[in-house]
Formats: sequence, C-alpha cells, structure tokens
Amino acid sequence: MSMDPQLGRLRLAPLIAGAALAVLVILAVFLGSFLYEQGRIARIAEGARAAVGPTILERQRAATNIERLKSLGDIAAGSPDSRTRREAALAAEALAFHPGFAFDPELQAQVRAARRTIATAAAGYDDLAAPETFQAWSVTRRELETLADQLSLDAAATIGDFFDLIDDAAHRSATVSTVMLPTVALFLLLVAWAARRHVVRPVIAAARAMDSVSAGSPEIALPPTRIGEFATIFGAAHRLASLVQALETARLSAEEARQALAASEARFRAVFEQAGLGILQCDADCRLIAVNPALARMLGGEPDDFVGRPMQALLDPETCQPADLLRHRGESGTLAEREARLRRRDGTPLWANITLTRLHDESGQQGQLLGMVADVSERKEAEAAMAEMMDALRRSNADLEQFACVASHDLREPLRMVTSYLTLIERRSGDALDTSGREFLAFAREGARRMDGLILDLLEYARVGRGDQPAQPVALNAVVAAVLRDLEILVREAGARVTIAGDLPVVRGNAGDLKRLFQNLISNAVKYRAADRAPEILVEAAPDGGNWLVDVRDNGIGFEDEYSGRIFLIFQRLHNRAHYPGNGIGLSICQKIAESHGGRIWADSKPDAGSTFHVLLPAWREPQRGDLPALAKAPAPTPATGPAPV
Amino acid sequence: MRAHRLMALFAAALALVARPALAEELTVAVTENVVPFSFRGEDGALTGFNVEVGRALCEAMAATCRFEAVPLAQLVDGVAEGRVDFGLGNLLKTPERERRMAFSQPYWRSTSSYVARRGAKPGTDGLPPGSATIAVQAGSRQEKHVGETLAQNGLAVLTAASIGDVLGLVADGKAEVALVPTLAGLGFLRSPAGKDLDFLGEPLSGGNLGGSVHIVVAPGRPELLARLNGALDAIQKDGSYHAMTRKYFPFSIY
Repeated sequence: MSMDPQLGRLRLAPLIAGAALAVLVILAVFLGSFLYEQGRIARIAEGARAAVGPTILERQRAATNIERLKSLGDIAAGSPDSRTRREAALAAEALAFHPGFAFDPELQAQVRAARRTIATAAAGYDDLAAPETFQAWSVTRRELETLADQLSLDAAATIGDFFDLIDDAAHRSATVSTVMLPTVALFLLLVAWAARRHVVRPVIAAARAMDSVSAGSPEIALPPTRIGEFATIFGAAHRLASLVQALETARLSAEEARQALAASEARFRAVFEQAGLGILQCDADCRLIAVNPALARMLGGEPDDFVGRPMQALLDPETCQPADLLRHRGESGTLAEREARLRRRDGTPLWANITLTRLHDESGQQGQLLGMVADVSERKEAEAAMAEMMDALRRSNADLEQFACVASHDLREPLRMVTSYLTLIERRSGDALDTSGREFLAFAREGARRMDGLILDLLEYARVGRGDQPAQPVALNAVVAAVLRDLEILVREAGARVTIAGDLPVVRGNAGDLKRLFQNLISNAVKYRAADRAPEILVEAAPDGGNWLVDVRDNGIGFEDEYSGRIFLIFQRLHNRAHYPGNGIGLSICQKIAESHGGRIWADSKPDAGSTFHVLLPAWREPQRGDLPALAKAPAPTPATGPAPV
Repeated sequence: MRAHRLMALFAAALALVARPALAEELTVAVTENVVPFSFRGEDGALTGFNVEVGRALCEAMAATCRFEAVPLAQLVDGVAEGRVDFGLGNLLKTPERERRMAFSQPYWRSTSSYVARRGAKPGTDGLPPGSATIAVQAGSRQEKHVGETLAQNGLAVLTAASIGDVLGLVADGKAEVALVPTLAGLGFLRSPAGKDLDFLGEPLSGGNLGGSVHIVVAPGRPELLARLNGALDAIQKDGSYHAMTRKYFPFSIY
C-alpha cells in the first residue's frame, strides 16, 4: 500500500512553528493585555500613592489648618489680651503663607484674605469700629468653614475618583479576563484538537502499526494524513509491514523447505541406512565421508572403518583406477559407471558395479561425489559359469556339426556307391530280371534316394541356426517378397492367394535363415491346403514388447491342437508321405531358426479350419552391452505328441 | 601557641564586626538656639521640635543617639564630612547641598520671612526704606539668597550662628531687617525677645526660600538614610509626629 503523495503536502515543522507562533501571539496579546491592565492598576496604585494619597492628605491638612486659622481668628478678634491677639495674628500670618495651601491658588488667596481680616481684627480690637471688624471676621469665619467643608468634599471626591479608577481598572481587568480567557481557552482547545487530530492520532496510529508489525501482523491500518512527515512515516510503516510479510513468507517457505529438507534427509538417511545397495559419499578430493551399512557389510566392516579413507583404497588397481571412475560422462553429472573389483578388509575381492554422481553446491561448483555400489559378484560368477557352459556348448555343437557333416558326407558316399551299382545292375541286367526283380531293384534305388534326402535334410538342419553370422537388421518385407518370388510357380499352380497385411517389421537376425523360415511356413500352407477351396494365406505382424509377433495364417486342412508341439519335432509327420511328400524336418528347421534368433515359434490349429503359425522375433535395435539372447514373453510350446507332417 | 594566636585574632575580629550591632550609637546634630526647633530649656536641657523628632527617630531605629547643638554651618560641615551621622537643621534641598550630603524625605515645609521692627513698612524691594544692614544665619539658604540679590545693592549683610542671634541683631538695632525661616521667626516673635519685632511683608517661598525641609545624612550611608525614611513613616503613622507639631506649633507645618 502506498500513500497518496498529494496527502503529504504539508510539513510538520512549519505547522508546529505556525501553531507555536499563533499560540505565542495569542498568549502575547493576552499577556500584553494582562500586563497592560496590571500596569494600569499599578499606575493607579502608584498614582494613588503619589497623588491621590498626598492630595487627600494635603486637603485634610489644609482643612485642619483652616480650623486652626479659625481658632487663631477667634483669638485675634475676641481675646482681650493684646499679646495674645498679636501672637494669634502672627501665627495666622505664618499659617496663611504656609506651602500647605499652595496646591489651590484660589484657596491660598482666600486664606491670605482671611489672615488680613484676622490681622485687622487683632489690631482694631480696641477701636470703635470693633463691631464691624468682628462682624467682618464672622463673615470670614463662615467662609473658612465653607472652605473646610469644600476641602472635605474635595477629599471625598478625590477618594471617589480614586475608587472610580479602581472600579474602572477592575472592570477593564474583568473585561480582559472575560474576553481573553475564553478566547485563549478556545484557541488552546482548537490547538489541542488540531494537535490531537493531526499529530497525536497519527503518532498513536503509527505506534499501533509498529506494535502490529512487531507482533508479526502485516495488516496495519493508518489514517490518511496531510502531514508530509507522517506520510513518510506511514509509508515506511507500510514498507516495513510488507517487508515483515515478505520475511514471514520467506520464513514459512524456509520452514517448509527445512521440513522438506529434513524429510528428504530422513528419507535419504533411511535409504542410506536401510538400502541393500551400497552407498558412499566422498568429498571433492575423493576422500570417503560417509559409507552406508550395506556397503560396509559388502566390504566386511563397519561404516566408521572406512570414513576418512581415500576411495582408491577400496579399488583393486588391477581392474580400475580412480581416474577411470572420475571421468566425466555427461551433463547429468553421472560419472563413470563401470564394474570394478574391490578389496574387502580381509583382502578378498569383491566385484561391484559403481556409479558415481558429481554433486554441485549452491554456487554451481562441483563438489562431493555420491556413489552407488552394487555387489555383482554372483552375477559375475554366473556369467563366468555361463561362459564356460557356452564354450562347452559351442564345442559340443561344433563337434556335432562336424559329426553331422562328416556323417552326412560319409553316409552319402556309400549311398552313392549303392545307387551307382543299382543303376549299373539295372542297365546291364535289367532285361534279365523278371518283373519282381526289377520291382525289387526299384524299391532299393527309391530307398537309397530317400536315404540321401534324409541325409541332406539332416545336413541342412545341422547347418541352420548356427549363429555364426552377426545379427543384422532384416526387413521382413523384403524377405517375404523374395520367398514369394521363389514360390511363384507353386503358388500359381495351387491357385493360392498370399496377402501381406501392412508393412512387415525390421527384425534382428540372419536374412538367409529368416527367408528359409518363411519359405517353409508359406510352402507348408500351400502344401497342406484343403481340396475344396483355394488356399488363402495371410502374413501379418504386431509389436509385442521389444519383439515382433509375425503370424502366418492359412485356411488349409489344419490339425488337432494336441499335435501343435509334435509337429516341430524332427522327422515327425502327421500325414502319409504318399499324400503329402516330405521328410518332416521343415518345421524343426523353423523352430531351430526362431530359437537361434532368440525367438520362439508355435502354432494354433483346428482340423479343416486352417492353421496359424506364430513367430516371435526380436525387433531391431542398436546392440547394447549386456544384451542376452533371451525372451521372456513367449508361451511355452505344447509338447508334441502327434505324428510329424510329411 | 600558634592556634591560640589565631583564635585570639578571630575573637578580636568578631568583636569589631559585632560591635556596631550590639550597641549602635549615632551622632545627631541640631542647630542651636532656634526656637522652637532646638533650644535649651530653662533647665539647660536641649529640647524643641527637631530634638524630639530626632529622639523619636532614634527610638524607631532602635539606636542610641547623642545630640549635639551646633551652628548651622558646623552642622552642614559635620554631616558632609561624616563626623555627624545625621542632622536636623531645617535644611532646604539645593543642588549644592545634595552634592555634599544625602537628604531624607521631607518632614515639614517652610517659607522665609523678613522680620523688622514693629511698624516698619516694606519698600519696593521688600525691605524697610533706608535699610543698610540685613541679618541672616550663617550658612543658611537665606544668606545665599541675600548674597545673590540684595547685597549687590550695597546692603550690608550681618551673619549670626543661630536664628536667635540673627533676630537679636534686629532687636538690638544692629540690623534693620532679618531674613529667617518663617516658623523660626514666629517662635522668636512670640517670645518676649521679639515683642518689638514683627513680620515684614508676606512670607517668601520663591528663590529656594521656601519648600520642603529634610534631614541631612552623612554621604555614603544609604542604609542609614533608608532607616531614617522608614522611621519618619513610622512616627507619622503612629501619631507621634502629629503630637509633636501640635506641641510646638499653632498649626500643621507639614
């Protein structure tokens, strides 16, 4: 979540400075007004102290002195003692000019006028005009009383004015307080509200967000803000929350990876510990760092007996060098896989198949080696025994072949001699013989011919399937086509129709032997045709695992299923030679050819419903090391019990 | 031994420091022979308004005061030179005097008056016509005024140490007129010695001849000045000052 940059246009420092300035201005106005009023009150108090008080005191003293002046006037006007009147007049003279009356020139003038009346009264006491003088003094005395009253009133008025000033100051102070205090309070409330809304709440929100982030929750709620600093803080909080979420995700992933790694390690450990296959682990210098119990058992020790030793210490240098194992063999990282002879702890040899895999570290550098060690001692022994058996078999076959050839050749020589002399007897003495004699001679010559045929067939049987020719790809299409060309006359005379379903496969074998096989099968199909219908022969093939199953199907006379095995026995026949000529060796040769190719041949048939001969041949592929001439998926042929076909 | 010397020195220093506080004695000067401010009574004791004010102030300051009655000039010199702590000589505040000594707040107000023989009439210059000699108190503001104004017209100036002596010169006919503080002159005129004398013309207040009267304090004694001002406020508030004015004057002189 990213903040809207438009929301962060305001900066906190100027806002705080502005608010502080406004607060200062308001407080300064309030304080200034307060101080002004305080100063005014202080000036009033100072004025009262400097002016009002002295003014009142001055008037009080003036009023008092007027009373004294009245007394002095009474004495001056009425005392019969002239000295007393003189002293009173002198005192009145001094009093009238005392500075205490100087504050009011009119008062001062009236007082000085009064002292002249007093002086006149004092001087004229004994004169005839005394009554008028006394009367004048009486008038002056009343005027002085009026002055004294006026001074009292003035003092009272001054006090009243002073209290008016105090009231005014108190009123102004109250007004200032009444106006300014709520104003300041309202402004402070406004500032507090603004600070709470724009400063405190964002800070609290940021703090809560930090608490949430600290608690590991990536979900944080932050209000929009116009303050740039808070926008920056909120943005950082959101980025921090995202980082925390990413970290949490990474942590969970790491935890899952760790658990997966632990499970993998557990599985590997279980495999490592419990596998029957030997497993070893080497460092980059081919020093053993782990050996599983199976390998340790193979080598006749415990795993710890081998850890730390160089891997080459296990190898018999006569069969394998460490460099042979470390030769790189492909992009998959698998190094040399080969069989090598190891040395057990007790020094006895151990044949093993070793497969090494170069492990790569996280940086892609080649590091440790992981090796699989399979004990192949028994197979090696079996292979050796088999090789010996094969050699013996090969020698036996060669001896038999040699025996057959020699026997056939040696047998045919006296047979040719018999035939030659039988021919000489017939040519020289044929006319001398009677019918029976010539018939006996014909039987003897036919027997010799048949024996020669049997010897030739036996010689062929011995020669086919010798396996002395290397396996080659053989296209059955070409083989069958060649067969049909050779049998063209036979097929045409029999009115047979041979159909090849689709393309026939390419198999591994010998072209000549395979041609002989299919020639025998197709010619048999023509030979054992039904009398009431033209022969229909179908050749088709279908894949069967790594082999091809080639069927030759006909609509001939067929045979009982119980003879499906016997027909492949040499010189075995199911029919009279007079109806179906032959020596009964064709299917035996087919069986020998099929088996010499690593295949099989068998037949399905019903009487008068045709027969199907199945031939399983290996498909062509590039020769692989360890190929064995064995096929697994061929039903076992039914044992032959019936007569061989003629 | 050395420690004993140090302790003895410390005790002596403590005694010097504590001495003024234990028994403060102030020297107070008043002018001599100025009725009713300071004069000797029939028993020879020094009395008068200024003497009683001075005593009241000392009592308010809790100080022991020793009063000396001296001529005005000697009072001014004594205060200015610090030989006297403060003086009550009915002195008006002038710039010249303020340069030499400190002045308290006013404690009464004064004017000046000419005093001549009874029946004398003032001329255009305020003096009796034909006056050749005028008497003033030595060192007074009146002497300075006469020297600055009237003496330039050929008027002879006679000075005396006290107001009583000044007015005695007029009573004895040695001077035709005297210029004195009005209240001091009133006191003399009301006495038997002044029965033939009288005020001449109206009292004067211009030309620094009238105004507020202060107690003068030795220079460099601001604490004493403050204490005196506080004592003046105290005796005015407790009514003792008012009682003293009523005792010595027929009206309020403040």
